[in-house]
Amino acid sequence: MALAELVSRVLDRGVVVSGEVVVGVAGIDLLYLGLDLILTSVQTLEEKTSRPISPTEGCDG
Amino acid sequence: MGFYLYCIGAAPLTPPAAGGVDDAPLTVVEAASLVALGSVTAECPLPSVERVRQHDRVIRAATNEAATPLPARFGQWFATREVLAARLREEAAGYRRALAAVQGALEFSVHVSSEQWATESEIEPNADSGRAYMEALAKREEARRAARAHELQIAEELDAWFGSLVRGRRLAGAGRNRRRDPMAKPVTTTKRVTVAHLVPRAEIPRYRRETSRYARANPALDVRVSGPWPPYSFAE
Repeated sequence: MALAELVSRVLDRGVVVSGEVVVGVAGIDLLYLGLDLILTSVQTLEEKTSRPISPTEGCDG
Repeated sequence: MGFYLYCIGAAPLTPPAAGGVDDAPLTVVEAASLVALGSVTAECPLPSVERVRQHDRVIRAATNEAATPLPARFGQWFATREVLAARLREEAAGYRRALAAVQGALEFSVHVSSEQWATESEIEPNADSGRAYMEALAKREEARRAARAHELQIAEELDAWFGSLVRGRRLAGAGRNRRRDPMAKPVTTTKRVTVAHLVPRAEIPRYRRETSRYARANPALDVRVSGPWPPYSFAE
C-alpha cells in the first residue's frame, strides 16, 4: 500500500511545468498505458530485485 | 546537459545535501523569485522503484517548517536551464498562488472502504452485438457516475467531520482496488474512496486524533490514513 501510494503520487501528481510529462520505457509512453500497468511493472521490478518494501518515510512533520 | 526537476519553491531555497535520482548532485534554477530544485543530467531518467523513491526523498528533504515547495511530477526534464527559467517566468503568478496555498501544510490521504460497498463484477463492453455493446457501455458509465457520487458523499462527510482542521481537499477519483494483473479477467472488488487533505503542520496532532475518532465512530468502515506527504495532490 505504501509503495503503491508513493508511486501513484510521484508519477501521477504534482506540478507539471512543461505541460506534459514524458515517462516511457523502451519507447512506450506509460502515461497512455495507465497506472495499473506501471504498478504491475513496479511489482515485477521488486520481485526481480527481491528488495523488501519499507514503509514510506514520513515528512518532517 | 539538461535539468531534471524535483520541486518549485519560493526563494531562497537551499538544496538538500543528499543527492537526487541516481545520486546526481542537487542544484537550483532561479527565476522570478522562484527556485526550481533539480539535478543536471544528460537525459530524463526512466522510472524505476528506486528512482521514484529518490525523487520523493529529495522533495521531502526540501520540505520543512520554513519551506513547502510544490512537488513536481516524476519525469520532467528540460533541455537547458534557460528553458525551465523561461517557463517559471511565464507561470510565476500561478506558482506563487499555489505556493501560498500549501505553505506550512502537508498532505494526508484518507482511504475509506467497506465490505458493504462490494460491487458487481466490472462491466466489460465485450458484447456480441452492437446494441448489447452500447448497453454495456451505458451501464459502465452509470456505475462510474454512481461511484463518483458516492465518493463525493464520503468526502463531504469528512469535510463536516474535520471542519477547519483541513485547509484543502482533493478527490483521488472513484475507483476500485487495483488488480495486480491488468490483463486478468475482471473480479468482484470493493470500492474504496480516497480523499487527500491539506493539513497545517500545527493541526497535524489534532488531525490524527480526529481520524482515529472518525474510524471509531464508523465501525462499518475501514478507515486508513497515510501521511504526511509533501502536497503532491495540491500542486497541480
